[in-house]
Amino acid sequence: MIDSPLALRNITRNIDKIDPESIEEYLKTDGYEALKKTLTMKPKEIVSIIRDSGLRGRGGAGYPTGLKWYFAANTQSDAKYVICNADEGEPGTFKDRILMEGDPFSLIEALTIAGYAIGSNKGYIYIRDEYRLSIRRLQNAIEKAQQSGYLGLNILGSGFDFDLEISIGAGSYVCGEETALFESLEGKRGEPRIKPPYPTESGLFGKPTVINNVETLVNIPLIVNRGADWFKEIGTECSPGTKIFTLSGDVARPGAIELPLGTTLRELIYEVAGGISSEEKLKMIQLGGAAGHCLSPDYLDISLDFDSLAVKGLSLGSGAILVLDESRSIIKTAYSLAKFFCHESCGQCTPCREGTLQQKEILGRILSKKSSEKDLELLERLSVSMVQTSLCPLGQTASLGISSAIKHFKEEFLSYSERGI
Amino acid sequence: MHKDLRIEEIARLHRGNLLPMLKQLQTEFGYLQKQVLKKLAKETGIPLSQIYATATFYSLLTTKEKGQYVIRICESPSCELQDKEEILTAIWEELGIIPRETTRDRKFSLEFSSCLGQCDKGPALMVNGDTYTNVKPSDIGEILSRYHLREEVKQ
Amino acid sequence: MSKRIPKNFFPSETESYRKEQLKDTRVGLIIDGEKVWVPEGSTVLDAAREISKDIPTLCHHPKLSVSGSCRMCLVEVDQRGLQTSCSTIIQEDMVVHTETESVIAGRKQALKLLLSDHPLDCLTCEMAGNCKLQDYAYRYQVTGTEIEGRQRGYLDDDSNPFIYREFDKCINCTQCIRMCTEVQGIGALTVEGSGFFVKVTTEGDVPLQDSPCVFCGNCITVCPTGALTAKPSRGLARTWEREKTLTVCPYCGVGCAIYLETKNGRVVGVEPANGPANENLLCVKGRFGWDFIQHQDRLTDPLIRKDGELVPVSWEEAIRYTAKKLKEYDSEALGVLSSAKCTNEENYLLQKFTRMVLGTNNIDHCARLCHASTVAALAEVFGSAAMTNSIAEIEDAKAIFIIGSNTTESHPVIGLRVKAAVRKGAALVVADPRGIELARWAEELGDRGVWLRQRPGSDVALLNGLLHVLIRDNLIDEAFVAERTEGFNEVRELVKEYTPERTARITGIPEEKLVKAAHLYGEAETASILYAMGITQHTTGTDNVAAIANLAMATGNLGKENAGVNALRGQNNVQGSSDMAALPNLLPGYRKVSDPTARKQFADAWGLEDLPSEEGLTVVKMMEAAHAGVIKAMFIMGENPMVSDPDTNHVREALNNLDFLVVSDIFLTETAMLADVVLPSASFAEREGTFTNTERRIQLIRKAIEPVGNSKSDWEIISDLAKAMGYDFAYENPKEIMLEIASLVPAYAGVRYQDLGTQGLQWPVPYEGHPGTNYLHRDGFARGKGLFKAIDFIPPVEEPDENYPLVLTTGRILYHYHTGSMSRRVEALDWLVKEGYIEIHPERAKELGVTDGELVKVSSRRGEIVTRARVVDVTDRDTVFMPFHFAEAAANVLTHRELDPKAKIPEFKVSAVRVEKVE
Repeated sequence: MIDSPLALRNITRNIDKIDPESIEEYLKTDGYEALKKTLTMKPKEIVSIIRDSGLRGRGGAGYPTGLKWYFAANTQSDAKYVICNADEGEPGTFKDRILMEGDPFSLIEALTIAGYAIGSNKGYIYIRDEYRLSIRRLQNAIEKAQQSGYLGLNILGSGFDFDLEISIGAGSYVCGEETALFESLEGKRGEPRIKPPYPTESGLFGKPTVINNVETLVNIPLIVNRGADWFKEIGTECSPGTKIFTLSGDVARPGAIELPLGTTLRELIYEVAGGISSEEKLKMIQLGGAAGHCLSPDYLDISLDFDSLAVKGLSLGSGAILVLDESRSIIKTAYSLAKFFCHESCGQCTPCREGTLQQKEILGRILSKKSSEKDLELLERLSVSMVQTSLCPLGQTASLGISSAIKHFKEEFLSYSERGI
Repeated sequence: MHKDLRIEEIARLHRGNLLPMLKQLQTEFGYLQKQVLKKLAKETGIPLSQIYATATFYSLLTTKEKGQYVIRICESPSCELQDKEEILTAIWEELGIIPRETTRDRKFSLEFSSCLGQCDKGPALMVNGDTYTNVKPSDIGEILSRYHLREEVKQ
Repeated sequence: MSKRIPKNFFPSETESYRKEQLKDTRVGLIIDGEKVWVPEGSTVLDAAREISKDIPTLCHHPKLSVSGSCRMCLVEVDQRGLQTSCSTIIQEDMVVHTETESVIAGRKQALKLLLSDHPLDCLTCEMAGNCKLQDYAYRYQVTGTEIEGRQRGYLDDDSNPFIYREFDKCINCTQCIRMCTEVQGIGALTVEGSGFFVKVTTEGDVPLQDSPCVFCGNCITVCPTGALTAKPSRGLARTWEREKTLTVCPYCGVGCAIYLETKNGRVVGVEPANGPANENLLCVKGRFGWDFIQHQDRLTDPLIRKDGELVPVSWEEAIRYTAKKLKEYDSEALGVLSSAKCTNEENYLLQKFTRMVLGTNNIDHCARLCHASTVAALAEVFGSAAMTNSIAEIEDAKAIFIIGSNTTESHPVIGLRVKAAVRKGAALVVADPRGIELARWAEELGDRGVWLRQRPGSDVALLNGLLHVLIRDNLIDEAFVAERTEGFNEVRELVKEYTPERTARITGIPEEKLVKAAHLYGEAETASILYAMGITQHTTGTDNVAAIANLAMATGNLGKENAGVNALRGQNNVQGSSDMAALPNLLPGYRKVSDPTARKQFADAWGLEDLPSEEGLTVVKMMEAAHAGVIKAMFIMGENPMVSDPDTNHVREALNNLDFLVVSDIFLTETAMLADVVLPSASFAEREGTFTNTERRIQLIRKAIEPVGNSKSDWEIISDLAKAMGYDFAYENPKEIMLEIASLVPAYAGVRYQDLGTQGLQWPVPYEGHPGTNYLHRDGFARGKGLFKAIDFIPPVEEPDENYPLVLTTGRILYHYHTGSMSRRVEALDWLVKEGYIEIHPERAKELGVTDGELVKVSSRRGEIVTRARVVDVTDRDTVFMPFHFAEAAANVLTHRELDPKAKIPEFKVSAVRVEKVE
């Protein structure tokens, strides 16, 4: 965690403060108070609190969490599932890892509350294989919670049963997409499903499912304990609460930080991360991971909240912020993005399977200065069709970084292609 | 025969859940050999075609033989900005392999990986389950020697 | 062959979800400004197609689950933007635009991308002219040169003679995978890898022949590009050069509609047609089994035996000589075998010839060897001897009980209907001594399936035992029994003794399975029984069938849709040749020869005083009479008793003992080789007429090519012969013969060629313009009330003993057909299964010291043969199985001639044999 006077310590309150493997220490910091409170309330009331809080999904889409819960709670079914999406594969992002490594019990408590709220007795944490320490910590936390009666049958004597299972991925970015994650959990290829049906109607094994990101979930115990109004005090009106931003690249102090939503890029880069690490000037910011837009310094004063960004056609994504200084090549970065998506496309739908390869091929040509000006047009047209016609968010966002880079750094691209003619 | 029994055990252990079964089989048998998958199909009733569909989808699963230790270098944009090339050179000097190759003694394979989630501490790499961050070219010799050593201890 | 249900065979949750949405209320929406009303839950694509909007699709297929991956079917929906129409469920007042600028741009871009890595070798591509990618590229004027791409560079798979795979032409639409999994239930195909390098292939990318593939070729049918093509057709003709003739498959009794494709008078391929039985599906034989038609072995000229040699002669000489010889014998010394491979018209004509010209009722055909017991039993208990319901109905039955039918091998396309029913949730009960594919499926279905492994020949006990449980557990449809049937009380009395415990002892089936089976069958709203030769080919064959009828009547599963007693007939026209009475005891339309009124009607029509009134000889009796010298001359049309009949050595002696034998056939079969005159007949591809399939559907076969050499259709041969013998058989064409049939056979009364079209008609067709009858006994049984028959169990005639300790059962396999005269001349089928074999249980093989692939001697009291052992867990350890298609390892050398007393069908399914290792 980056040390900064601006930092808030809400969802990160326990990180580096308590022993993440000790349930006793967790209990000492109000741990499981929220669950205890929950169990005295009706599931409907919990859903209302979450809806009132205005909490929105921290995985990227910003969908109201309470609404998801509300739909799932109101769907009749013999089984329902709660899933924590811990398949944090978005390049430049490591917020969930920090949360799981540093405060695993919060996540488990949150999932249990979610299970109670929607009427589910079974939860899964789908986590990427690379996060070995997180897996160990979560496993330990689940065992300890089970031993202490916070998981399993008749939790705290309430009659409510809930258990958790960890499911470990096998190296596939697309499995972070919720329906691909279901497929993977079911033992299949991680190919996204067509929506609708939405998970709250037909998710894992066809049952109503709530799937939330790690960071979203760890907000839950806080909201339950401190109330929706407390939560709404933080952040902006439409984007309440905090967000963990992860800074990497050419900044003086890379790392993670929890800040209220609505903080500006300028504050983040210059006040929190100590500015550019070199003598060079700021050149580019990629906001939200590989699937996010590449921006010029003109955007430094934009407010980082869901709505302000949406107005400009941008997205907060995972909250990853990659900073490049003037010495860096935009083309190289674009090529690296193209390579990434080409590798991670599942291959199911035409625009993404073929389009991600074409992006890589074309940028490869540009990089080796063998391209023509037409190639830039081609990339732009590719981007339009990928955004509009791909089956899942991976394909729909796989060209955003590249097309925005072309938009803001066209001169650089042209300088490469001109020489090639 | 012993192998077949082990496959049966693994199938039972994971209650027919394909992904964890495949991962464990790979851990125990090195890679997903055809005979192993065939036996798994027989044991679980999952058609071999579906087993292959899953086994070939995930980058951490392999149906081809690889080294005992797989070095996976993070290729994300953040790590790309670091001195990744120099690390590759160091590995080349140490093991004589480039990405997607395996050493002759089948001890090490070198691969690229998507983001390892260590972006503030790049460059990062993993050797099997172990993660290394802020790796400098000069660290490579020491990192690799741990695995050379591990094998000797076993023997 | 894989015998397990692929895990993704069943509808996915998403698919089920979509299905549940389909309601019977209608919703209105606007497509391109036009209001359209469609059932709630339909997709936008369904709705658009309702008003003939041509939305392009590459991955969509109405029979398969939704993929939504090709992104060609995009449409623009107000407020929602671009959506795939194949997956978007309509909503009230949705406004859809099917060809806006952005829709077209999206489609164009998808095409450009697909073409960027597609080999643009349309000049030589097998599918040029019939390729969706090509069609859409043309429609949207996409040249494929705009995006420089790279091909994946996968090597073609040319390693089997059926399906040629060009991976670089694959556009990953996955229709083939879904076809193989969801319809065929095999799951040989899958997607491997990820991203750009995904490959649609087999498990671990092995050649098809090393995978569970059964070479049905249905993947070829759905492939939108040239990635999968029929290898035997490759390079023979461009798609637009192919003349297509709609006709009917010449193999089993399913009656699949096919297009025979020809170019310049040569057959170049087969494509499935959308016939009512098959709905564009085919099996390996139908799809690939066509190259026998113009095989070099085809008989081209009549042959007469001169100095011991068969030498070619003119038709004139052959007919003259045959007529002269046939006239030399008394009627009772003459015998005729007709053929279930010939048309209705030819069968009608041959029985007319036999009765009118030869003056005898000594006519029979191979129905005797397959379903004579069905005809005998069902005529007695229902009054109509045929499959009661339709093939398409099987799919919607709530329970299916299969007994004595290896459906997926012997009637593969009906097998697909069974699988479709299972996919829709039907219960499946399979009774079979062998672990056939559907038996394993039934086992895997858990609560809704059970496999009953009865001892060969114990079927009556099994069926009585099931009825016992139905009665005991109140699963009888008492109202149906009271109103529609008679004789139930005797049956009720009799089956009291067939307690589960006793039944288990006789059949070897555990009691709980019997009870489970009875409940699965008895509790279903509609339950369909399918049976075939495992029931009929017994000395108790007629009893077996009657016991099946008891079960169906007791549960009220007759006279309604999706139920019934469904005899699966073996040959393409075995139903028709029985209808036409190529039988010794019946006149066309199942009228008894002993009935003077019936005889009078036919005699009048044929201009005679009377017809022979004494029942003639059946197949096996005819052979015995020939052996004894009573029958001196025989005319055999298109049959091969040397391979198909029991006790081959006896048949050989019988035929050799004849004075005069005439055989008409398309090949010089094992039987024709013994003949004095061989007449070359035209194959199904060269003639016209009708076939009646197992569901009583009369379908037109149409001439696709000229007769090979100087061969002639059998109706012409019979007419010529009759004329030469002084009778005026003056028919211009088969259509005229059908008019005569219609005038004499009530069930065919309304059959007119011009009404048969693409769908045919199911008899009874009582008058012209009648739509045909999809299921029988709707308002009452043909005989009035359905007759229950109390039938006691009788053990098989030949039971194993010390010398012959094993039970031999015989049957068909998927890749060959009948006596092999056609299928073994198909190069590809021969490549796959070249020779006969005997299936032995691994434990038994171990005991015998026999390993897989070794030669073994199999002997019975009749003879012995040497064949290859297949050590597989299909039969139990006391039973062995042999296919009967292979003359050089003829199973029928071993079988015996004991007959069912009523139907005179031999007991092919139970013979006692000994198996020894050949040192």
